[in-house]
Amino acid sequence: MNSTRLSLLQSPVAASRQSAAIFPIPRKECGALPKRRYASNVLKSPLMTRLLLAGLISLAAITARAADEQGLIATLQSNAGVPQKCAACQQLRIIGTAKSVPALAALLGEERIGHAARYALEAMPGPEAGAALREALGKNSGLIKAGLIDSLGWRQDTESLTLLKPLLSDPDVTIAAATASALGKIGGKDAIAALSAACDQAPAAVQAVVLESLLQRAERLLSSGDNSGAAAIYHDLFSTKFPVQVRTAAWRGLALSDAGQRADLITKALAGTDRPVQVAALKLVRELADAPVIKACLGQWTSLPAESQLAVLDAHVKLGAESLPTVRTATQSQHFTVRYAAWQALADLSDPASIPALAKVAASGEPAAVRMAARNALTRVRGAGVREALLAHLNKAEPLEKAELLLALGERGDTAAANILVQNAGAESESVRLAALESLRRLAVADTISPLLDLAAKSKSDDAREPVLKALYAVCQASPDKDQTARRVVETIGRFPVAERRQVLPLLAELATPDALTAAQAATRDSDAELAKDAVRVLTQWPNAAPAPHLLELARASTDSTMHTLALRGCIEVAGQESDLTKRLALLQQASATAKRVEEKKQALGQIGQIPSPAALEIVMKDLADPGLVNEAGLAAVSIAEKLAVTDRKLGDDVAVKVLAQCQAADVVKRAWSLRIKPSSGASFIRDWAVCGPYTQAGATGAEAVFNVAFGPEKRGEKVQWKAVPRGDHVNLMALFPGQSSCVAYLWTQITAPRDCDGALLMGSDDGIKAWLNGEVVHSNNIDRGEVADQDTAPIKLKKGTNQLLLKITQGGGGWSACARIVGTDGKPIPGLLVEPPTSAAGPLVAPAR
Amino acid sequence: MQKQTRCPLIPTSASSRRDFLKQASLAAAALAAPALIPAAALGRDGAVAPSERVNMGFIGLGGQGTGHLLGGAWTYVPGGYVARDDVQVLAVCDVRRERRESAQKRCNQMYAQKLGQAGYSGVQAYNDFREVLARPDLDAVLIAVPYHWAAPLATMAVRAGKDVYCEKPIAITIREGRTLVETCQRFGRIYQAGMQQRSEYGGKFRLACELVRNGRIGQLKEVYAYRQPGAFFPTPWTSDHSVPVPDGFDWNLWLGPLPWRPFGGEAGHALSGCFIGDVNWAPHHYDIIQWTVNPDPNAPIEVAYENKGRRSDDAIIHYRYSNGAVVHSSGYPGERVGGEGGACFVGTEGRIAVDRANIVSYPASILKQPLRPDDSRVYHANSHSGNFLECIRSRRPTITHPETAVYTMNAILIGGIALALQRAVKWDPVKGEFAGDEQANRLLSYTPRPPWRI
Repeated sequence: MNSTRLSLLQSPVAASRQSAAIFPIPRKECGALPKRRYASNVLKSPLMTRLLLAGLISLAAITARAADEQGLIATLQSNAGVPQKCAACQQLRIIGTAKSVPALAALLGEERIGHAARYALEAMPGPEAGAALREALGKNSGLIKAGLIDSLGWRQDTESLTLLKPLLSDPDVTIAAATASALGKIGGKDAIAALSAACDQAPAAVQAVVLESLLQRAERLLSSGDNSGAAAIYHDLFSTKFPVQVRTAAWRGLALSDAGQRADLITKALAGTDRPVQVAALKLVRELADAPVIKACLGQWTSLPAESQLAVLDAHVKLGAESLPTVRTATQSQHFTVRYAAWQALADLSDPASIPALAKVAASGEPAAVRMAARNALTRVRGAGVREALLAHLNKAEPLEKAELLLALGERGDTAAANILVQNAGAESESVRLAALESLRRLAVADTISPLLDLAAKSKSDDAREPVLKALYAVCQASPDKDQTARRVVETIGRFPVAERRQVLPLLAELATPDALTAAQAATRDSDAELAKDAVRVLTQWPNAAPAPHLLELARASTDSTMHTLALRGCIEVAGQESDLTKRLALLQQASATAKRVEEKKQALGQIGQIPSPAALEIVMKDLADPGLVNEAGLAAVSIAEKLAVTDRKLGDDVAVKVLAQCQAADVVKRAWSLRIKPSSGASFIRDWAVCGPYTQAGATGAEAVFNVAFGPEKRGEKVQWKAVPRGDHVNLMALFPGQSSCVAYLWTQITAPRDCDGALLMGSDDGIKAWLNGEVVHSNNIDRGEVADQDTAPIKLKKGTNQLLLKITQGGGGWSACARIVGTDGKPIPGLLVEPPTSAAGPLVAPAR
Repeated sequence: MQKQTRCPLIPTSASSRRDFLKQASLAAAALAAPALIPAAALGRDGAVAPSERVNMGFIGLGGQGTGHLLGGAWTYVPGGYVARDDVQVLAVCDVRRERRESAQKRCNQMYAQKLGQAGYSGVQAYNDFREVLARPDLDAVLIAVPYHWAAPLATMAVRAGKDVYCEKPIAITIREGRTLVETCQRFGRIYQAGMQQRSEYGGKFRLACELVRNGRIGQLKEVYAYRQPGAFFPTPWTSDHSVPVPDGFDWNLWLGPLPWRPFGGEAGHALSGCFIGDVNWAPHHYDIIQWTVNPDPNAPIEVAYENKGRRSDDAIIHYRYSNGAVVHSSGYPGERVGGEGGACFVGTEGRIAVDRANIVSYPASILKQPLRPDDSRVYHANSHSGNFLECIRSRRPTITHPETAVYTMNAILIGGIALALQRAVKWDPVKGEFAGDEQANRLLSYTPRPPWRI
């Protein structure tokens, strides 16, 4: 957590206040108001002022709109292209008035612009737009006419009914279907009659729309209170001559519209064998949660299949406490899913009487899911008398049930029950004991520290002690007063025999108070050698650098080599947490000087490499000359130099030169090269490439998935079609292979070197990149990213004469490109280096390594 | 019982023992979280018989659709639907020939292996989704298609009597959303939206939601969404730019209800310029926010537009809900957690930031206090695909049923309309329209290209 977060943490309300004036009048609306991001003064101003301002703004907007509209109409009437006229229509959709209608209407018959013109007219509220659409109806055919009908439908244009009705039997099914849809939206007795008449005769493609329009009209009748009108439609549609989805929708509508028959309909459906209707009933009974329906269903309970019982149970539970008898019945269902749901439901029903049954099931041999449901209900059941019932049953319950109740206390966060848990934490029954300890761990009440320590001391085996230690650890972790807790721990464990003390020592590092430190440090000098070593290990885990001086002193003074190593490694480890970098460096220098073995010197170098200061750099640079430490010193040097080079490029360059002269480790060399080579290198990009691809692999999705799949150029003997790439610094593969994703392409070029020489290949790629030079992999970066020139660097060795360079560039999606250039070890262009446009159709002369 | 609380012997070295204890305690805390609906518990008793498998079709086989079907690195459906014993894939569909043929081949191979039937060919490939919807033997379809197809296709599937899983953005206009909800109700179908953060990612979002709802950060004042909302607002409406249509690609069907234009080389999730703001990633953020801001009837009622530059891409949208909570489309200053599909909730006594990778609270103790019996809970599911399939069998509403999904989408779309108009708007959640704002109301719908209609 960084300091910014901490400050935010402390003041959530302050953050809230910062944007308290959150419902700004945005600047655009504020017109002549002073330019303020939040016009909080307006928010505070009297209502009348705000209304007045709003009026002025509206007037201004209307004037602007009129001028805009005139311009847009002019565009429509000009010789502008299709996209421009469509764009004008689109704007008129938002601001168009009756004035625009003639210009838009004139375009309705044109295939592309007509669609846009209709888009504008469909949304205009005035009668002129409707009239224009109706008028266009007779002048058009096919899809344009179908579109006009759609728009009239969405406008619920009742005046078009006379025009539309005959179109329901139009031989063009697209027009007939559009008409059926429009009639369903417009509604009214005439529309329903026309639709009803058509539903038997219409061709299948039209019938489906007719039937849905009728369902839609029936819904409207139902919502307007005309249940009998709706029921009449549903009754007609509830027929096997219609598709099954229409029949079930009609059944659903019947059940909704006919209150008298509803219970009977649903009960029969739930118990019956008409599967589609039963499926509809499963959903409907839950949605309705209707008491008479539920009552009727309960009358058939035992004959209901599992899913129907479940639906009735769900519906009843929605009604709250009155469902308790049903839930109890359901707990005895022969169906596992119903029992599961019933135990689950008890969580919300506030029934203290259910506690014994819940505990019994949770501890029973029921399937795990059912036991889990009961356990969860024990945790969640709430209301008056529940806690008392739980505690009362605890005294009577069998051990396994008792364990469930104790676990529930922990899960319920019942800290007041800590004493009861402590009493049971020493129980003979392992189940009870473990459950109590688990809950003590969960609750982590500070007052339980002493009894838990006593329990830890009394534990007869590691197995028995382990859950106690877990609880202790949680208590220490949660302790609000770590000083006091630490004193209690120190005082108590001081009385423990050595073996027990070793077990609880790690608690000291969790507490990490001065008292805990003193105790842990003292333990490092204990006469028991194993306890002393454990204490050193605990200090190594300390969350700050406080034990470092003690550990250093211990390392210096120790004659035991194991103790010396442990203490020194611990010192180096915790010194890394010292926030004062000067102190940290001093500690690490002393530790390194104390080290007798190269391993600890390497460890110290690792830590010093984390200190971004010239002093630290100076120390690690000295070790470059030590063959035993050169790689670690090189790594530390580049780590420090990378940070310092941000403000001092030359320093970075100097360090890189020295590291490269001494160090051979590949990762260090690579990082040193990055320090060495500047993106501002004067070398030009390779501009001549041949390309092949794109290659895909079935099932490999994304750039990273295709990276390691070998395609043509990586396979010996595979024929590859190479094509020249248009010359340029950056190869835009997306332009060469548009619309591709999850694929790769290869780029190949030939470099002629005047002599054998070292250099660096600088690369940028979108997405990942792999590079081969003369058949050897010199670089591999499987990544999904955008291209930046020189973002990757690979040291290379060019041979005199022709060198084959092959790049593999992956593509996940979006952009796809690459660039590359070669520089010498000084970061500058290599004199005499030539790039030859690849001419051989055979591809790279050396097959790349796999 | 014993097995659940026992663990291996403590290591002998003190340092590793400390780590071990720490890990063990975290693991135990994770196990102790309530598991309200164990996977498969709602299925019929016993093993899944072939007749009880859900027969499914997959429409749209791009990255998302293929991930659902076959699994993959990103997906939250391990092994994909094709690996599930309670699902039988019968149809795959895409307007790109190579995609549908590749998926068909993979599925048939997998079933051949699984069933020990060499040459298995039970999975059919389709270009036109209408042929898939016409199959009477399909129970459900999974729809992962370009944005403009989501609602029309889902609605047509429901009309055809199918249960539907649909990827975001669910609906690109308010009218599409309303039609979707009404159609699902009319035909009594099960629908689940691809807003899987309610079910996946280790329950972090649910935890944040329940903690906030139960007052752990005091009264909820503000929420930071880290994401602009968006809306369908094509700019341009059409184009004359044209390149040859690749072989095996049905461009006209891909375009569907959108204004016609020649193929211009792009046909991904959406055409560039079709949308203002973000309609596809924002649903994850706003879904969690609306789940948490609750109660649902308190849909955003005012949307303010804060200009931050010349482009609406830079603007910030502020929503005010009727319960007083304010949601900002921006991120919480200085807070990194929240950007990955998440949000930062600020209350009078603390705040919680959550995303797919992290959940943090200030003060930290908020997250350490378990929910109590008296705390209210929300719909609990630990597997999004599992929830979908369970609901197909039980007919319970899914965790992201159409009303919920459209409620989220509407919040995004009205914010997007404010972006398009570059001004504030007022929303009437009951009527589903802007209050006294004719201009904004004209953007509640668009006009599909015939013969497509919703």
